[in-house]
This record gives sequence, C-alpha cells and structure tokens, in this order.
Amino acid sequence: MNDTVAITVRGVSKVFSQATEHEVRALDNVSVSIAKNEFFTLLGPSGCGKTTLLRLIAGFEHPTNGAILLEGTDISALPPFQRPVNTVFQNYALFPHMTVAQNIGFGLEMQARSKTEVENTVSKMLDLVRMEALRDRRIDQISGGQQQRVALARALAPRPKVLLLDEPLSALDLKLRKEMQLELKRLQHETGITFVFVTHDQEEALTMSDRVAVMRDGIIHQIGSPVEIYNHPNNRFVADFIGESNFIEAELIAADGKTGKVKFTDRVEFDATLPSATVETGPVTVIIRPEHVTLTTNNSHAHLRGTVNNSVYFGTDTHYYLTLDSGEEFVIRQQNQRGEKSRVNAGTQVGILINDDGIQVLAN
Amino acid sequence: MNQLVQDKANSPATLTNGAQATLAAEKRELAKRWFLVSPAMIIIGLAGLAPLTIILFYSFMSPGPYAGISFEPTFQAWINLVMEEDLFEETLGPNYAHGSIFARSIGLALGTTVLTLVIGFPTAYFIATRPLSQRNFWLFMISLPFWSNLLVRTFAIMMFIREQGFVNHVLLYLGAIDKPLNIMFTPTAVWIGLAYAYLPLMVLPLYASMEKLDFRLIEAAYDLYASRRKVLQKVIIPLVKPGIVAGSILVFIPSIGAYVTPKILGGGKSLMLGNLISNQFGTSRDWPLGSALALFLMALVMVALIIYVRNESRNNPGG
Repeated sequence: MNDTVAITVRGVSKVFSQATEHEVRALDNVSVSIAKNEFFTLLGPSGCGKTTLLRLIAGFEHPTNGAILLEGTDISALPPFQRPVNTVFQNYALFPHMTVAQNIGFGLEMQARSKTEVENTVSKMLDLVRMEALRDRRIDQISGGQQQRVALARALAPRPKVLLLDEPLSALDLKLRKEMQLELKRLQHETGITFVFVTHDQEEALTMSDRVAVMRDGIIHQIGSPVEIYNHPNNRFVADFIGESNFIEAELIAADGKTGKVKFTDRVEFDATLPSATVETGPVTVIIRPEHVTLTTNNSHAHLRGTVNNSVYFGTDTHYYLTLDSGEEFVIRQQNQRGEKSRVNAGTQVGILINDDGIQVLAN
Repeated sequence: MNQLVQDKANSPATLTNGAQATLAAEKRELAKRWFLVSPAMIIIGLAGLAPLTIILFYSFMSPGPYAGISFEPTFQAWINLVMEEDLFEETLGPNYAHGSIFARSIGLALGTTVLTLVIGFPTAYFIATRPLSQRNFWLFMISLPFWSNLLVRTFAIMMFIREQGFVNHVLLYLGAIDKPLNIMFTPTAVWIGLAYAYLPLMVLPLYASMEKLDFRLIEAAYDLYASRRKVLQKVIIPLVKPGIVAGSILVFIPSIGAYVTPKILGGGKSLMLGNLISNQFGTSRDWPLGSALALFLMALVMVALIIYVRNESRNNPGG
C-alpha cells in the first residue's frame, strides 16, 4: 500500500431506505484516494452525496457496498469512536453544558490521556485558534465565529489522522468566512493533518483546496487541482457549476491525445484541449470561459462575431452579454482599463478573439 | 407593585399637577390589578390558606371524645407524632410504629422514583428517537392508563401479581420458580403498583427534555472517542438532567402521600403515611394527630420541592 495515502474510498455505494419506495441512492460506486497532508474538497450542490461520503469516512454511516481504508487499513466496520478521524460539524455541535476548554479537552479525556497532557494540549489548541482569553466561557457566551474556532480546536486536539469539515463556514458572514478560509489553510499547514472539506461554494473550494472532487447525484464527475477543474472541466455539469462558461456547438475535426482541432460554423480551425475521456471527431460542445476571450470592434479577423445586447459594469471588469451570429448566447468578461473609452455600447457589432488554449472540448 | 408603592412614599410633597395626575392614574391602575387578580386570590384563600390554617389549628388541640376536637390547646398531637407513651411504665419512648411508617413511605417513594426512572429513561429515549409522526402515538400509549381511574388500575395490577396471577403463571411455566411468589400485601406490591401508576409522570418530562436534545451532540461525542456508556454519562444525562429532576419530583410527591395503592396492594402490614392520616380521621378518631401527620407529610414534600428549586436555580443562574 502506498504510504502517502490517507483515505481510500473503494467502490463505495450508499443506499438509504433500501428496498422501500423511499429508496435513495446517495452514493453510487464512488472511488477516490486522498493523500496525506492534502487539503481535499468535496464540492457539489446540495443532495449530491458529499456529506454522505464525509459521514461514511467519519463512521456515522456504513457503506452499502465497497470499503473505506485509512492508511491501508479497512475501517468500514469500525464505530466512529474507534476511528482516528475527527469532524467539524456544520452547526459545530459544541457541548452546551461545558466550557470552551472542557469542549476542547473532551476528545482527549475520552482517550483517557493524563490530566497534564489534556491541560497542555488544550492550552496549545486555545493558542492555535487564538482563544486563550475565552477558555472558561460557556458556549452560549461566545460568538458564532468563536464557536467555529472552538469546534476546530476540539476536533484537532486529539491529533486525528484526518480532519473532516462539513460546510463549517456556511453559517458565517462573508467577511468572517474569508478570514476563516485563510485560517483553515494556516491550520492545515501548521498541523500537517489531512483535511477533507465539504462545501457547495465553488469559490471556497477553488481558493483553499489542493484537490477538488466535483460531485452530483452520488457520482464524482471530476477530481483535480482547482486549476485543472477550472480550466479543463470534463463535462458540462462541472463547467457550469464552477465559474461561468460559454457553451458553443462546434465540430471536432482532429483529435490527438490531449489536444485536437475544432471548427465553428464556416470559420477557421482552432487548437482545443480534449477531456480525459475519449472523444470522437464530429459535432461536440466546447466551452470558452468569459475571461479567455478578447472583445474587438475591428471584426475583420475576429474568430466569432456577434452583437452586444447588454453590458454590466462590475468595477474591476465589465460583463458583455452578446448574441453570436449563429444565434448562441455568449458572455465576455473584460478587465476595465482607465477611462470610459473602452466601454462598448449595446447594439454594437463586435468580434471575439479567443485566447490561446481558451477552448475546452467537453466529453459527449 | 412594590415599586409603585415605594415611588409614592418617596415622592416629595411638592408635586406638579402633571405628576399628581400620573400618580392618580397609577393608583387606579393598581386598584384595577388587584380587582383582576381577586378571583385567584379568593380561590387561593378559600381552597388553600383557610384549610391549612384549620389543620394547623386542629393539630394544637385535643381530640374530641367521639371524633373532631375539643378546644383544649396542647402539643400532644405533635408529641405523639414521634413519641409514644408506654402504657405500663408511663414513660415516653420513640414511636416505632410511626417511625416505620415514615421510613416505609420515604423508602417506597424513593424506590418508586428510582424504578420509574430506570424504566422511564429508555422509554422516553425510545419515543424521542422515533420519527416525528410516530411520537404522539407512543406518548398516547404511555399516558393512556393515566386517563383511567386509579382504583381500576390498581385492581388491574392486583390481578397481575396475585398468587394466581399472570406473573406467577409465567414464572411457574418458565420454571423460574417452584411455587407462586407471594407478592400481594407486601411493600413490593405497593412498589410495583406505585411505579405503574406514576410512570407517565416520569416519562413525559423526560421525553420533553430528550426531545430538545440535539442528537448531533451525541454524534460529536462518538466522533471524539466517547464509547456508548461515556456518551450516556457525559452528554445525554447532563443535558436531560432537568427532565430527570422534574420527573423525579413529580413521581416522588404523589408516591409519598399515596393512599389507594398501599391500601389495596399493601394490606395492613404495608401502611403508608396517607393511610395513617386517614386512620386518624377514621377508626382512631384522633383528628389533631391526623392534622399533625398531614402537616408533616407536607413538610416532607416541601423539602423535596426545595431541593428541586435549588437545583434549578443552580442550573440556570441567569433565570
């Protein structure tokens, strides 16, 4: 067994209320490996199975099929209290009848660690999440952001092999969320513990993760680094869920490994990136990110042509909503330059220049 | 209201017209409030304070020749409560008969509380963990016997535990015993009867606090290496403690003053305080002693309540 792997999920399915009319297949033959010291994110819309997968790793649910391995050992049958894995719950689930320090020390006490060790670790954890001043407060006497930190400290205190985080930032306001994103990154770096993070917020996933698994309907659609996922989405769902995309019908005229050539209606050929799955030549859908193109009013050598319907000013950039000559909708994001001159008015005929490496073919 | 009275007392003699008007309005408001609470006050006075005063008064009188009292003030009833005159030596010694009844009453009430807690805790947990749609059904099933007459229920239990009853039949059939157990007319019978009668009073408050229990906290404890026993000990019990205390008080108070159950199931040998009091107003014709015993029982209940209230205020220092 590879000793750099923390968690292996092997062909796991989870069916709730099996063989009844309410049968729900939450996970369908999911396999994934999570490396040690990795910040791994499960990303997907609600009901995609990401929380179920997390609960299976924690031990609150048991897989219908398949196995979950921790550093090569099958832990599928172990109850949660025998797994060296801790969870930060979405609602924090802090014990209301205990102080901040008692909450953080709970896991250590249950492991029957010595009193001095518990005290030392609790102090260290309070220091790590910058909560020393509040150690004797009751849970209802601290704010949501502080509860978040206590929940983190409580889960980190027993030094688990893997830390599971179930949408821990969703209850915080935007500013606090941004702060905690950086904080989580710092904690992961300082502790060297593998983090498995569940979120439905694509921005959160992209900014924090080493790798992201995009899920829907109990299936992992794509696993990769944030850059891979964003620039080279495998399919329409991933492209649509992460960032904004333009979907254009085209024809694949040549395919060679990871690259190929596509042709739009009556236009020249372009180099394009192919998905990992095999794609046959013929009609395909390609995606073009709104920021991977340049708008030009000189449309004689443009790759695509269209008419501006609407433009929306966002400060740093402007979004143009176009209708292409082929009738398809198209969005362009242009970084704003100084001066109003660069603005293009609605109704203007414009050309679109596609940047190099700006076309991604989707699996069909 | 106190605040209003104080304000008036402290107000300086020189008041502006506006302030005087306000004061008059406040006075009218106060009178209105007294008027509105008067029905409650009258009920408390007539149904609560007046009978208590009469009982207190009776307990310091001498017993009448046939029944009732004769108006000769004495502490004899209170002395008889705990002491007994030796007929031959004419000396006062402890009243062992009363002592054993007090001890049995307290013991049976505590025993009933413990038994209902042991049975009621898992029952309430079971109900609280059912889907929402099924909980009312289970609660209804638990409280159903409570809506029938206590006498009927007590006779039902008697059918169950008597020599030829269900329990003995089953145990004999299973070979657990050789001859029928003699449960009837023992303190054990009273214990079982009381626990059966007051079980809903334990289950309902326990359920109320378990329903509020956040089961994600139990998951969190499992996640943090707590075994099932530790979860119960460190998370569930501390969090449902208000329910445990409330249920215990609700069971203890009627149990200690129980009358029907010990009378039917306990026979003559398992008298409890309630039966002793009733005897004083009946066959023994000692109304002052009966009054003193009734007040003594009330004092016991008060002690239980004080423990409860102090416990509550410790749990919620803010409230």
